[in-house]
Amino acid sequence: MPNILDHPSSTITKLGLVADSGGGKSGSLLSLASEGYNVRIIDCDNGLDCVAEILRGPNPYKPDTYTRIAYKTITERRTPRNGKLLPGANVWTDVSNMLDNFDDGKVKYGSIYRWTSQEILVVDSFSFLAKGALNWILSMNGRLGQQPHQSDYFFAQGILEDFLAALFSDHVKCNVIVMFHIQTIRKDGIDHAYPEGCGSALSPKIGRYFNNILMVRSTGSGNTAKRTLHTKNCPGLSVELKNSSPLTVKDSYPQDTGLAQYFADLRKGVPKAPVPPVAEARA
Amino acid sequence: MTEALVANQSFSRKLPSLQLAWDSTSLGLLKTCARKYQLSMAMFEEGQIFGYSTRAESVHLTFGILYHGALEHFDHEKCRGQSYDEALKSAVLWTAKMTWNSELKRPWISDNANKNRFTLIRSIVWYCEQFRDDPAKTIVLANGKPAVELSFKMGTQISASTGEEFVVCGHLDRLAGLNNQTLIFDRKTTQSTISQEYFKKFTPHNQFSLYSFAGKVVYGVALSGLIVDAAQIAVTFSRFERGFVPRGDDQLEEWWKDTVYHISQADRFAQINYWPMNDESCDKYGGCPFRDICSRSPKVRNQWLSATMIRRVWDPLKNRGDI
Repeated sequence: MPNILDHPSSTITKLGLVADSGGGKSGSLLSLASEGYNVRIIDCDNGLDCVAEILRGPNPYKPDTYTRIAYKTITERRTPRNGKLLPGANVWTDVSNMLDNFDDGKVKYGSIYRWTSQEILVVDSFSFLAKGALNWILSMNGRLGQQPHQSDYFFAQGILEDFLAALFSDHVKCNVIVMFHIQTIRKDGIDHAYPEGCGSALSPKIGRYFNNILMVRSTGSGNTAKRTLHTKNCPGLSVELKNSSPLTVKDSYPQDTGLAQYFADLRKGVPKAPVPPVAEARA
Repeated sequence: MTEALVANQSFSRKLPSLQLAWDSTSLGLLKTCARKYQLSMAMFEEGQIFGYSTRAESVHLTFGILYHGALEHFDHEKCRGQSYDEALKSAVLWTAKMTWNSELKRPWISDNANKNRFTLIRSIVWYCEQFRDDPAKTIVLANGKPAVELSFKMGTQISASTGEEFVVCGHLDRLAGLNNQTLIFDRKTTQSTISQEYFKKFTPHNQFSLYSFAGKVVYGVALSGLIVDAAQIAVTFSRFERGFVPRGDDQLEEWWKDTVYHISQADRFAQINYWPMNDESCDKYGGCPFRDICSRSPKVRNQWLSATMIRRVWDPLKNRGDI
């Protein structure tokens, strides 16, 4: 019988990170790379310029942080047709292929199924990936650029759920962070905020695939703007949050160092491998 | 067991009622009811393997075969370098000829308001028009022919009680490339509205699991699932939708395990020459065509079979298209 104390959740973290657009999701990854994790980003948002800007300027991270960040930007190719710029429907297949062989264009990092607890797969962001999935379905039906039918949303939600299930499965033994924007859905006259998916049926289900849903929230503006990583629900936060170690983690962390601290706090109390006894010196 | 003459290459030469080559139709019948399977394709009399089917034409089967054939013809013409218009004209002409009875000098007559000669030709034209710039490009094989009606046959490395190997076989409608992926497309025609509910019924589904399995093993198709290329045939319109039917590796492994179990059961039934009836299936799937037969005393069933049904041979190894 497996020992519950050896459950992989103590060494592997799979989390959803939610924030508004420009809220600091991508920048929060730097602390992890600084602490030695190999951060590999599938960038569907084309929004990593802020990461580069932070690293070029004064920052709290180790000098070799940039060596542990790999990324591949995947966006839709657009081609003009009949006066419209139609998407190429390549995002979904390109991202799916990356799971089998993460290739940043310079180095092939192999299948994520072979990665370890030192690696972190980042999908930034699920919203754009979801658009890519919908475009793939439309492309298959010869209706790219047209208004999706309800069945298109159904299929896109199905393949996106399968994608999340694949990342969540115990066959993936690396850490996973999926970035989400926020979607508000009105139900029974009340607005509910969820991680954004595709259409309204998928968003309420996203939380099932993660044991950790965190949120980055900005308060203030300009030079006094402060970003905080929240791990638990509190007044003013719209999305339902959760974490896998409520007794160990803090309610919130500073955004620029928070993810590394959160990972460390989740791993507190994990017994280290026993140190073999040193042979006594003979007189 | 003396060696018997069998016209059906899919059956054993040592134990004539033992099917060795299984396709999705025969496997599906076996799973539904072993007796139905036996009556449909594994009767052995006077050195012949045959089955029974109803005398009445199934308009759905006929329509489906013609629809598949017309689009296969269109794909072949496009592959030959014909323009879209020429290929479509050729496909329509093919359909018109295939639905003309030259003996009786009249067109195929269907009493089905949805599925008839007119709606068939309309569906072919509308389908080709909707997918005129189809992003899913039919794969061209090394022999220069399009990958349509692809026959496959794969050994299972599982031996029957006779020592012969079981094989799994069938025909894939179409292999196409879409966004750098190779996909299996399977065409379906229906009178129902194509909605989420329509596509849901394809999981689990014997035929699609078999095709996904074969696609991976035989043709190296990496995608975990296939595309249902569905056509709704109504009285005044035809509508087309494609949906993805997923199949994970673990689902396919489970399907394979079940398949091995079922064909092992068929082996046992053939050995004891008895095919048990599944009397829970009689009223399902629109009602079993053999219900009238099975409802009679076993002593008179053969007479009723001969009187009310026609003999046919189902040989999964007979190729329908290019290999």
